[in-house]
Amino acid sequence: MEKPVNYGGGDLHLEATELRLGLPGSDGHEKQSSASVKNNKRTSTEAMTEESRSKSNSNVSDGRNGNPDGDPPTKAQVVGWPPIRSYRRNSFQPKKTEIDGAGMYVKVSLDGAPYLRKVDLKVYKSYPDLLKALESMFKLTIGQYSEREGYNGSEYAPTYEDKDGDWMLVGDVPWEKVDLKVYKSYPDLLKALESMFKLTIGQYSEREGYNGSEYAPTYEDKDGDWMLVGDVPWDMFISSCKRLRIMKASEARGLGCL
Amino acid sequence: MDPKGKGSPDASGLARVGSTFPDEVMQIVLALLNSHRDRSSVSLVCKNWYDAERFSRTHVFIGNCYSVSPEIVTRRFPNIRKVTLKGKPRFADFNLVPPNWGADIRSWLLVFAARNLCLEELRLKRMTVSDESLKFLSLSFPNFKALSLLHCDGFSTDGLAAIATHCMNLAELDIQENDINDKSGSWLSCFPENFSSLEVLNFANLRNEVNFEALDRLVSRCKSLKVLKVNKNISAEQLKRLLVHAPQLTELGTGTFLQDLTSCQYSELESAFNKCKNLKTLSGLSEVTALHLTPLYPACTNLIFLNLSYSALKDVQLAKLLVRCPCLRRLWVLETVGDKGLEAVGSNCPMLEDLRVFPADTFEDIAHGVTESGFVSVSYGCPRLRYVLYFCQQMTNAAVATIVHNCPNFTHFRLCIMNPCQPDYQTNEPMDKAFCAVVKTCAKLQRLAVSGLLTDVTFESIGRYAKSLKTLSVAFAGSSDWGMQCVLGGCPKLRKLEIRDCPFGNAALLSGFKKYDSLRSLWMSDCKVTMNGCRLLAKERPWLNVEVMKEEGSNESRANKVYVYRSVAGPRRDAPPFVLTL
Repeated sequence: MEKPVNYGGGDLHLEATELRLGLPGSDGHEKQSSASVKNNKRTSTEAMTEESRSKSNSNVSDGRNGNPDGDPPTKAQVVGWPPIRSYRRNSFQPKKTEIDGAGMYVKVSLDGAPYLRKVDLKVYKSYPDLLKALESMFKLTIGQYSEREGYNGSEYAPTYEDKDGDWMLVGDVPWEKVDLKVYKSYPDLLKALESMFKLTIGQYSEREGYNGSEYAPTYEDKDGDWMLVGDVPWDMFISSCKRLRIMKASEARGLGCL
Repeated sequence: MDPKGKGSPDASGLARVGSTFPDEVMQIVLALLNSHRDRSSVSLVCKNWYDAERFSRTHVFIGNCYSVSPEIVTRRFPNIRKVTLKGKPRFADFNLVPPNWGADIRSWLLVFAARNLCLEELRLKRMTVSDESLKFLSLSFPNFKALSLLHCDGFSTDGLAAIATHCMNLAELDIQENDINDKSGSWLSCFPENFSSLEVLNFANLRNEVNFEALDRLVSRCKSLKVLKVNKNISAEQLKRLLVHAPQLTELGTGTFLQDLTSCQYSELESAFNKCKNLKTLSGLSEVTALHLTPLYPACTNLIFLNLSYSALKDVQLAKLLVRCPCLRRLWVLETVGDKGLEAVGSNCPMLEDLRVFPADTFEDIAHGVTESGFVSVSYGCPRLRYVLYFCQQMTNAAVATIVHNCPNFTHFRLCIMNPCQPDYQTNEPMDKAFCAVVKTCAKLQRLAVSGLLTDVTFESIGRYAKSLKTLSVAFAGSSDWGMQCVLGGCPKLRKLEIRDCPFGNAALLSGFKKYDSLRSLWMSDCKVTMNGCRLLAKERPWLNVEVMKEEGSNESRANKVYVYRSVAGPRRDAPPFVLTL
């Protein structure tokens, strides 16, 4: 029915609340469980600090609160108190992120460091961008991401807490998600991509493709081939498009239509 | 359909009345009766009236979906067209009920379809609704007109797409505060291009962007559209275009006002609002700043209900807005407006009947927020207040006494002091005096939620004075079984009792076993009730459903979550493994 260009839940999948740079070994065990691949969640044996858990979601109770005789529980420990529906909690205050007009700030904690830093996710266009920034901020090497191995071979692995409260490896899900059905035509889509990634793609022409522009939008079709966006009729495009990738004009030369 | 029998005499003296009263007149009179209670009373008079009533009933309201079965309902009322169903216990909203508990609409829909019910309206609250059920609904009832889902779960936007695609006569689609799997906004594009019967459209709940052009065309075609509540993705500019096509709206929920408007856009928006002369309700308004509110002013003159509970407004912004709303009767705000904002409410809203102040950030203690003084200011300025929901950081007994003295007409008084067991912060006493004042002064009180440090004294007063009380919510309160016993021994009109984390045990539970026949339901969680106590109750009252929810690794003899309700359908047949019916 719906053809999301890239899989993953949520508008901006990185509605992350906290990035953590952990020591390896914590991520090393996940390959043992084969079942996790389907839902993108790798098992993590890394223990999380209790404060971050209890503060991030007072719906998760740390311990039993059914002790009416004992000390009155504080707000943070009690399930379902204060009595506010989760819809209201979630819709008003995104957990620990501040989304203002300028950026989307996320806390980053490094195992063993005495204090946390904050980064603005909106500033980065892709994973390599973000990882390079983290490397320079914390003076360490994270290295390359690979789908099979994660960050194996590196001293650190970046992880993040998703909307459900699970800890995930940074890099598994696509950076951005776009729903093609919302657009009615190529210009619609291109305009949206331009505003999403803050770049100019320009006009499509049958002869020249996107010549003159710095970027060219391409897509992977059902056969696994990388095609230039714009050649086929819109309806055919949205039914065959699996993934979108905005290539630099120099890279796209190999497609033979630039 | 004609009622059976023509005034057959029965034992009571009313037989004579029944036999001389023509059926036709009976039907006309009954058609005018809308209240469920009245109809219920009519049906109890004699068999003749019972039959006349049941065939003429078009709307049935079921407050607890497990109190009756769909078979029983459709057998008794073969001609119903509108059904309202409530499912899970209210504390499910606060994650106290495990997932997959039940209240699935599916079995109801299957029976409705099998009995060829001409279903037109379905209003569900706290039910589980799957996409398959929605699709089944859309295909099985050709006259289906209105779907309202409030605090439901189990469905995705695929289900909405099915409704949009197949329900040719849909007039109302109201999706409010549900736990929905929001896959995409494409469901809205499923309304056929010639579809124009929509009167109510509320999709504020949904996060994904819908195709704006499709929405715009839909709004333009649906000339009877009265209620439109859009989601956050709709910008101010887009909203203006929608308003231009639908100046007849009576209820509007806006999107996000985040972007700065050019002066041209600003005046266009203002003039669009100016044309909305019939606007009675305004909501949405997320992420507004002061600048964005001014174009709204022209539409505020006739406003009755202003829902700012998703807008982090400050006192000054609120005050400026309220000055324009002289007719306001219902106001919902966030605590960000502070006590000063509430002073503005007191000064500007003499007609106010319903005030709700919601907390903004529940994870950190904030220095601002509202205190007792805000509430007191409102009470001085708004003597007509009858419904209040107030979340605050601190409260005093004296303040509450003043408040109810100023506003003795409360029907709904829900006070939530956010730290459990917090005493009066000035005197350090329990908050008993506050709630005693409430029940003594407010004779019409129907709903009460208590909080703060409370002893059994509060419950003695409630039992003794709260003669009209129907719903009572208690958390972290009371000193002993005696408290609950007082409530169960008094409160003649009590229908719903929900208790969590209180020191009430088996003695309290069992003291009310006669009372439970007249309650819709009782909820007790994390109290001191044991399995034996529950078993005793079940034995004493075999026609009640006494359900215990077992949790992993909990003490075997404790009954941590108990749900007791009357039912003519017997024990649940669809109970999951963790729900034990005793």
